[in-house]
Amino acid sequence: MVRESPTTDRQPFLVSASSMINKIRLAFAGACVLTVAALFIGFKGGSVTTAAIAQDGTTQSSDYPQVGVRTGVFNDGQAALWDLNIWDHFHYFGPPERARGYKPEQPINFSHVIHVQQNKMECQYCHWSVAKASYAAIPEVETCMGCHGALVAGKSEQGKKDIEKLKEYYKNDQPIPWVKVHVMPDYLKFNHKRHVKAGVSCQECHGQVPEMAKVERVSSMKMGWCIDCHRQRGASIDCLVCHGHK
Amino acid sequence: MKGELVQLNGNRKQAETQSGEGLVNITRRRFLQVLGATSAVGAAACASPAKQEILPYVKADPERIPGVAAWYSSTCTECSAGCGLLVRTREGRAVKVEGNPNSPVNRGSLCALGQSTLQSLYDSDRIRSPLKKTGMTAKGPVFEQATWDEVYGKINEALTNATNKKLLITGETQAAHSDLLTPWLSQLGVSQVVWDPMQPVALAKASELVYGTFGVPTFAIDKAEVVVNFGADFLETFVNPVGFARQWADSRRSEHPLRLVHIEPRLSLTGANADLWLKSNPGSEVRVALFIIGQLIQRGRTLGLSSDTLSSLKELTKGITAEAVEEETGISKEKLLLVSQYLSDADSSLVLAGGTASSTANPLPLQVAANILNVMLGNVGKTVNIAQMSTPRSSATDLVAAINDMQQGKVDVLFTYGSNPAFTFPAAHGYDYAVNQVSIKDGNKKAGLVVAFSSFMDETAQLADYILPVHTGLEDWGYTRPTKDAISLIQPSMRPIFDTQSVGDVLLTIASNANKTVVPAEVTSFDKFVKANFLSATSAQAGADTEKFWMSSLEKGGFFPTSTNNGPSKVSTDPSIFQLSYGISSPHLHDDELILYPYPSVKTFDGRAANKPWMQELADPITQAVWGAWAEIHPDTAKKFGLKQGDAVIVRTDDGEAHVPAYVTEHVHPGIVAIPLGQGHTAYGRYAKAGGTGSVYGLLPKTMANGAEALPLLGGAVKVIRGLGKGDLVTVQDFADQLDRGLARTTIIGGAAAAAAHAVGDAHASGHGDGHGEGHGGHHEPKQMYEQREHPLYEWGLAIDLAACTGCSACVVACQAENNIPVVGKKIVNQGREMAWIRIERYYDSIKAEDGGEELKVSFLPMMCQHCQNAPCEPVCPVYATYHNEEGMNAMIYNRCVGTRYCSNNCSYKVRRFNWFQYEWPELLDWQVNPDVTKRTVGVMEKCTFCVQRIAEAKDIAKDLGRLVEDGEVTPACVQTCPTQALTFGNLKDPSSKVSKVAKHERAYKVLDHHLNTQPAVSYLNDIRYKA
Repeated sequence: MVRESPTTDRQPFLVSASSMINKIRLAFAGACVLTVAALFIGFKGGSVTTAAIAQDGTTQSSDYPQVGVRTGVFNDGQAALWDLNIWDHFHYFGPPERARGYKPEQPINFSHVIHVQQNKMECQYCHWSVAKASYAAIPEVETCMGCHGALVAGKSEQGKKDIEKLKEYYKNDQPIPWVKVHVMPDYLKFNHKRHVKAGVSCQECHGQVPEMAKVERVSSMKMGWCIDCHRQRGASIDCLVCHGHK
Repeated sequence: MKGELVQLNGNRKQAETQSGEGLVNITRRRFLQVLGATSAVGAAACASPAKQEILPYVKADPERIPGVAAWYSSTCTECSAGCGLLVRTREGRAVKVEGNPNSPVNRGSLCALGQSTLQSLYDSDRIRSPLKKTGMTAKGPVFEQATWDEVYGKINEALTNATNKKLLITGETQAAHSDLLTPWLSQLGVSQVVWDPMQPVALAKASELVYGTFGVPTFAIDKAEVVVNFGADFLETFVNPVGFARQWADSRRSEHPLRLVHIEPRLSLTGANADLWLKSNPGSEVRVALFIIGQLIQRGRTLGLSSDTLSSLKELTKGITAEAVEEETGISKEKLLLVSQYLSDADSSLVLAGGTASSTANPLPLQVAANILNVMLGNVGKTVNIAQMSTPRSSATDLVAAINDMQQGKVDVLFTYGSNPAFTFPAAHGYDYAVNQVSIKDGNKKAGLVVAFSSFMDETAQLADYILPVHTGLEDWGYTRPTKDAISLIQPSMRPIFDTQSVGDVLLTIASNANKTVVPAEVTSFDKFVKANFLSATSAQAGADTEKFWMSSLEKGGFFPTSTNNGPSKVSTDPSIFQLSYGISSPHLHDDELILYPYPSVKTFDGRAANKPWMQELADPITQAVWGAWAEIHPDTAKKFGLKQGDAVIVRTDDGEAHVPAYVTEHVHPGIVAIPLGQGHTAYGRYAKAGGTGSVYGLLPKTMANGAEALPLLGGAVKVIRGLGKGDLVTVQDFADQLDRGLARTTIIGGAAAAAAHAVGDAHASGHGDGHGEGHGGHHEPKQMYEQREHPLYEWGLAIDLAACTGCSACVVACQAENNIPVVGKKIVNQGREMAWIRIERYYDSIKAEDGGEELKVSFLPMMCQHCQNAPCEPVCPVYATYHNEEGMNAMIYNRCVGTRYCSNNCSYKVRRFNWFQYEWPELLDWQVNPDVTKRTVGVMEKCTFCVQRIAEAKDIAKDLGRLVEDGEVTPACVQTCPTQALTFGNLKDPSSKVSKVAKHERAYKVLDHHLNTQPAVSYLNDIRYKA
């Protein structure tokens, strides 16, 4: 496999300054974090844990890969001073849809716990294009109907209702209007295929989806978070790899 | 002004649609089907813009992977050349068209109009359902929605009850429609009239007289050493401009480039590319041709002539002296003799006549003389192929007869399709009045029926009682016959957007409603008709598995056998050509009058391109003007009329008037006023209507051409009156002098100076006599301020051969389509805020001729971001939004950009564009937006990216295969579409790549590099000109 660009051997922008400046910068960043955190905790009355993150040790089954979910403020990496991920925890700036912990209501209460954890379905059975294209396909309604058309009618009351709803969509030839959980800005290229082929597991970015009855965003998916991983793995950190096109 | 796309306030609603129609007319289901797949759709109405829906397909389509483009081959239907297309679709929507390399017509390239065929499909003002006329107001006719059954019922009733003539007026129909119309017309008793002003019908008629067959021969420009051209704009709109441009360029960059002599009263784009451009008196070209014939007879070059013809020709050319012709044509006798010399010295040559220069009231003599020259010089069978003829059927006389019939109430039913005679035919003939006579109840005559099959509300459709909306070319089935044996298939690349039907299906339904059998019973729809006809035409090749052959042909784009038949070289000339009048008659002009010279331009053609905002905003390569028409006037004439550049001008005849701004240029004859055709629409959508007031067609007299079915464009006298104040002239380049900066350079070849070729355009370079200036020569190594960059794997570079670049501007439109570049409107272009990433700079220089005089040299210089190694823009960016990456690209990171515009100020090439406003795409045009390219927001700088999305895609594919990107795997949109393949893109790091070789060519140089040491990644190759 040919490496795309050896840029990573060099230090990226901002961090490439001399170590002295780095130290000053880090010290300043630390001070900022503490001050801002204190302020926000004060404003919010101490309710810090708005983001529910799937932590290790809560899972029962281990048939699927248990890759550690990146958690915590400082694990997210940091590209620039202003990219401190403390904002994610407070949802103070920017829409909540772009922050960690976003957990929208879906038109159908699809549970990954039932499908993946209990019934042991592979991610790529439904998200079939993830290793073929930039986009990870949301399964066609037909795919759902493959099982739910005649075979599986649901156990719980809610489940039965949802499967009826699914059949309704299919009958009307309408797509299910799923609400996007991982909303990315327009100026960004993210290629699922490249990441999957490079051996990044789904859980590393999306968290322990098999344990999610309702999918939520567990990573900030901010630039610093991306770059942190790119640096660790020696992937390219040339701006133009992710920006400048879509 | 009207037609502006810009919305100054991002929160304002998008441009309103006609009568509030919009997507509401499509069912949600259809909308979602077309929308397709998992591409995220911004839910515009949501409170938070961040909340997005993600919609899956309902049914799985194994061929379609979300995020991966699907390509469909088809054929372009914008003009009758029939270029092969490859349509790129994403999630069920066409987002880009490219030329089909399999097609022998265009060999993978497309012109500007072909590129903008997407804007026919996504025209914001498309007709969305059947319409019926319910009344007239001062603003125009009022239409209401109707149903298909209702209109079909009316048509059937009218056809049954018709006692008088039934007419169908069409454009030059594609072969599939012609094949269907043949039985359809005879079965239903309908007569067809074809009207397409772009067809060279006089040439076809002259071919019949001289070669013995009616039609337009196939020309092999690349096989000629000398081309003498009487006004045929073969690099712009003549017959097959893309194919001709490729032939021309293939020859120009070969060892022995052809020499092009162009004779016409106004400098056209083709004339600008000529080695010798001769300004003739309007309508006098036939005398030049006769003089050359006489000269060739004297020199004994009468190879292909029969003795009878030769003696008659001797008689005809007797007494035509150089002095007399100089007087008649305004071309000096030295030049006349020089052109004769070129032709008689050449082993192979080609003489062409066409365009407006030949479109006089007596067009045949010039065309006949040109054909005779080809016969004399032995070109028939070599550069003129009369075995492969296309037969244009357009007829102005038929249309006049039809109009007369209509006016006299002899027509009961009128169908129109694919032609716009209400606009493209002289208003003096009264087409609109005639159509009204059909539909109006008058005395004892009952009302007839007028039905238009049209996707667009143009001037002709507006006159109809009912309008049936039909598919555009990218939604329809069909085929064309580019050559005699070849078939180029048209297949839909996406579902119809609106409630439209194929014209073929409309015709079939009308026939079946009338209980007429026009096709076999098993052919129930037009797509089946296309398939059946294709398979029967290719039955010899199809073999047993016809289905497989059909599918593979669809994939290839059609059936393209290679023909080596150059046609016969012997011809039988009709002696009646000697009864034609070879004299010229110049009209008597009053003091305030000039001769009108309307010409088709690459921007609008005959008017069909005026509804496409890309074509409106495209800068005309010669005048550099955008949006609307202009009047080109010679400086002396302008002085006489008291006109200055940009002044408002009223051009008036008894039949109408046009309001245009004056464009003062030396490169027109002082006796003419030249105006591009196709602007001044009163209908045809918001962008067409934004193109000024008054159409040139409205100025044309009722005169018909003598002996041919063509419309005489040239020869009418018009009054030129100075209007009030300034006109609406907006140009993107006003200055035509290179100021010795060596921007666009030229190598002079041929003549006595051949040995010491020198460069034009750069005082420094020409002094060295090596043709490529300093900075390359190595007589001093520039001092480097910055560390030289290293490029570990790739160093992307572009090379542009100016000898092949014709200035046709196809690259500009291709770039606009690929990179989501907004159309900003005339007002904002006037403020210098145009957004196009490529511009075609045009410079006027002069070359010293052999006789000591000076000849005009026009240079075109495509200018885009040069991706400099030492980019002046990079160090001035305070936020690192623009930087140089390791692949040699000057990257632009939109989300870092804070809009200081320092980079633009410091750019030596002025190629950076700033988003002064939040530009939005009007409804439906936004369907074309390329999902691979970021839409830039207000306050962000942008510029050419070398189509970084295509590089990323190629790298992605290469990485899957575990290798590096190979040469030829990345083609930016401009390089892909270039009709002459003047652009080459690739990896400069790889010494064996094509671009590396071109960039090391002896003609190669870099713009401004020797002054500024910017070290661009874009190399240019000197243009080539013969010394006259």
